[in-house]
Amino acid sequence: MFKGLRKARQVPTSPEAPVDPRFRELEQWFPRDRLILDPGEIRVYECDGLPLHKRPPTAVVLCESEAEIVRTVKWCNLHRIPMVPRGAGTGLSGGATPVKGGIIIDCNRMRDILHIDLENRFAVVQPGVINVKVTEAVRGSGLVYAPDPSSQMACTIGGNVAENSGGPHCLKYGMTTDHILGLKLVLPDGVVIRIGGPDPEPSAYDLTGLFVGTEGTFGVVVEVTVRLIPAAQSVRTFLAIFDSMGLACRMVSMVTAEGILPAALEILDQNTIRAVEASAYAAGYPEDAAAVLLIELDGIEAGLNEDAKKIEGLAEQCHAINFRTARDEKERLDLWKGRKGAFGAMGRINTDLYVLDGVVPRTKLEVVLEKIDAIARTHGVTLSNVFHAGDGNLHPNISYDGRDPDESARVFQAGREILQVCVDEGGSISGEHGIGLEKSEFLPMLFSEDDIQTMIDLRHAVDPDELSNPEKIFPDSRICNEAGRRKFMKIPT
Amino acid sequence: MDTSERDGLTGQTDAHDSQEPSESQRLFYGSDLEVLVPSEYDELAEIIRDAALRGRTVIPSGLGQHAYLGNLSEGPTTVVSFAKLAQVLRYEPGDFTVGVQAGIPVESLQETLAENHQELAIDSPRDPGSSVGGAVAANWLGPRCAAVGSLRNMIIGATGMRADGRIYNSGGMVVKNVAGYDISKLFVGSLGTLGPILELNFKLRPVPDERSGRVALFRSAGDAFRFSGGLRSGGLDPQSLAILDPVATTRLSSATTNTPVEGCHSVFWFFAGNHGTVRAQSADSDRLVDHSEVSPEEIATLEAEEIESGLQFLSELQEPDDVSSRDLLIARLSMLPTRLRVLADRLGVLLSNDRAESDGWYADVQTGLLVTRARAEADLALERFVSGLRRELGPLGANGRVLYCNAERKGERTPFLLRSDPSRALAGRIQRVFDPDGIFHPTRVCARSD
Repeated sequence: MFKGLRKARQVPTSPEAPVDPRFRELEQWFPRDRLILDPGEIRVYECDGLPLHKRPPTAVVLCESEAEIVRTVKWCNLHRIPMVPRGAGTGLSGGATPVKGGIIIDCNRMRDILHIDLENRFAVVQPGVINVKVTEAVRGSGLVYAPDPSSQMACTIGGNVAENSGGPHCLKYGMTTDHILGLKLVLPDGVVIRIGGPDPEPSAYDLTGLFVGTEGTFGVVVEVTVRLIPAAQSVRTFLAIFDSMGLACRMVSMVTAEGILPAALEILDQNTIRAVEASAYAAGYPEDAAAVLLIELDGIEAGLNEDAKKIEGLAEQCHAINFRTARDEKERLDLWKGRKGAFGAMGRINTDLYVLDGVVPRTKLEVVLEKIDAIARTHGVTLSNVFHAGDGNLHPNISYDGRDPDESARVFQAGREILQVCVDEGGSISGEHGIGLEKSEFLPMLFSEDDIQTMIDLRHAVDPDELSNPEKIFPDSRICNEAGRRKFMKIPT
Repeated sequence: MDTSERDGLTGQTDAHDSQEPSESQRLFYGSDLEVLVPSEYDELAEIIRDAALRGRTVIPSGLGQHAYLGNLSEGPTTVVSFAKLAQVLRYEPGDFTVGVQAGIPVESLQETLAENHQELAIDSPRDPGSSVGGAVAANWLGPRCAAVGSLRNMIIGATGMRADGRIYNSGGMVVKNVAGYDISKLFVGSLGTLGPILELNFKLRPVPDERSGRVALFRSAGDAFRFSGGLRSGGLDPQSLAILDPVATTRLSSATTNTPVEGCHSVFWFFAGNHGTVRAQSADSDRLVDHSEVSPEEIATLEAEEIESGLQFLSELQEPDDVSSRDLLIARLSMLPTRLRVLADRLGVLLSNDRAESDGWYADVQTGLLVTRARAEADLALERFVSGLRRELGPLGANGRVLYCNAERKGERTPFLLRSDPSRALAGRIQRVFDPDGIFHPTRVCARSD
């Protein structure tokens, strides 16, 4: 157990329990259509993109302004009610699941792009702005907002900040943290603070760098200053097809050893290819291939010609059975279609999908994938791999029937062992989805007690009462809401 | 190294290796100074504990060359040297990652990486050099940071020690990692106030195949800024794009082409990458030069070695030639790139009003950083210059820090941060997590009056 971990007050949320009368006070600030108290309507908010863990809040406020967020946070402080910031709810680690009930502070309606400065290459946006809308807002200027998580058509900038989101192109362009210049936040005590800014050295400590990725535990973001970067002059996209996963991984290593920095390097395994090709996202990937490697280069046209030749040569050296080059934007989008639709396509395999998110050093890809396959065989689970090969960020996805408790148990055990393999091979338990609720008990795989205690102490410097998104990130025991059973496996000591 | 024995308040006689303070440490850390050199982390923890018991401020130090950074400490000081904590711990060239102890000199690390055609892309000065931990603690910002990022973007993991000796880790050895809080970001620019940085893990870059650059001369700063604006908006992707004043231009010229130049501002830029990229960008930039509304007086092509000399020169502008200089002040100012021109114009006015002269400035047009060196004989001239800078920064929404001034000048009129940090209260709470009793010189970055 870690020192100082406090229990936020549990707020009753079962359908039968009457609404805590204090929540009615929120009616003075929020009209009926933006204050959700009805248990039936509230169920929409009982989980995010991780439906495995459901826990309804007591109330949801749909905020439209910073002032409303400040009032809500101060009210939560006054009554010691937990608060959970929420964007689009596309997170995959239960980060927006209100474990202790309380209030969800929904920021989706704060969708304004407040300021665009093309000359100085930054924009100021509200947290509910959808990721892809930032680049859309500057279309034609020659600038883009680089972070491109797969959910970028739906996920919000505020959520991206909370999770330090990645995406296929972060191999070359970096994670969200590399593109956030400053934040305006409501701290858990209701104080509004600005940190960072668009100039390169705005403050003493890099508090912006610390706050990105804190998964809503440091308060509510109300404004984000994002970096805009020049769009690449030219793009080249290739698909290399292999009859062995090992050769696909080897090509990844050889590409980077050449000094080439691709914009993206993505691999899909055979199970994923077959699911994709049977779905609406069919991209013409050969179903008998063991693996396909999607390679994207961007930059100066003349420089791409040189790198393209090298890539083609490497594909031959790695015995690719086929090598395709997109000749135009349509073909490029077609090559990507399968990759982008991969997760959706897995819905065909079974009713539920456990999306894992681990990272390993790139040089360990081959050996780790073999171990992951062995784990899947041992536990008799169906596994499909699609991953960001360039930065070693794996997504082993396990399809299963969530109604089958035996299968579910095997799936979760396999997931735990896969993450342990990632750590044992020098990696991490999360590359881009965050720890949230899902992996908090796995944090000790990666960090010592002193490591975790230091993070908790930092959290307490900002949120001494742990009101902001409690019970996330840091390990603690969990009690299943209805039955009182221990639902999560504890890490054996 | 001398071995000395001390009596601590614990009553025990402890033996720690010690070393003579560097000139920089002697000048900036006062007379009651000891420099101890631990070989192990346990020993480091013991030194910190003992120093705290004896009421001494503890300052972690790499190569000991940059004691002039930050606000002055008061009272007796124990410097902990990382000279013996300077190993490469993990290096996998195939992963483009390296993990090192913080005391390793940057140059030594770069030599190791160069064997695999890789680099930590920071262009810090070689002479005197810095340790890796020192470069991070000082937030070293080199002339390529617009293109390749700064140390902040390169750190993927870190290990530190709290005041009570507990060691903690953040991040890891993978380039993509969102597990836990990113504490390593706090180290950047912390100047040791969060305790010693023990280890750092970085993501690396390949050394570019080719480099090609230009330096163009102009009669006025206005022309130089107009020209560089054209380059910037012309679709080019230079690794560095800097404007230099006449003093800096003369020295740059000596460092690169060895061509005498007087009285001109200059624009320095270069491209890097594979042959195709460099050739295409160079051709595009030459076309832009030909069609620019502002023609340079002269333009020279720089080859790879000259570019390297140019980068070193720009880096060295951020450091004093002599840490005992009485008449020198160096400041690094930070603003939106479009405001650089205004400040550059004001610098000349401030300098002449305060009877100081420029010892060279350069402006990084892509990031908005401006490094300025000023010299003045009269005692108060440099303080007035700093006051002038502080007045100018506010309306521009800019920030700045004094990288160097003589120890006697440091104080309220010449604080490290030229503008108060609005997040300082929160920063203070965070600092106290690592150092509840204030032994790591907590006001070195933010003075009490900030």
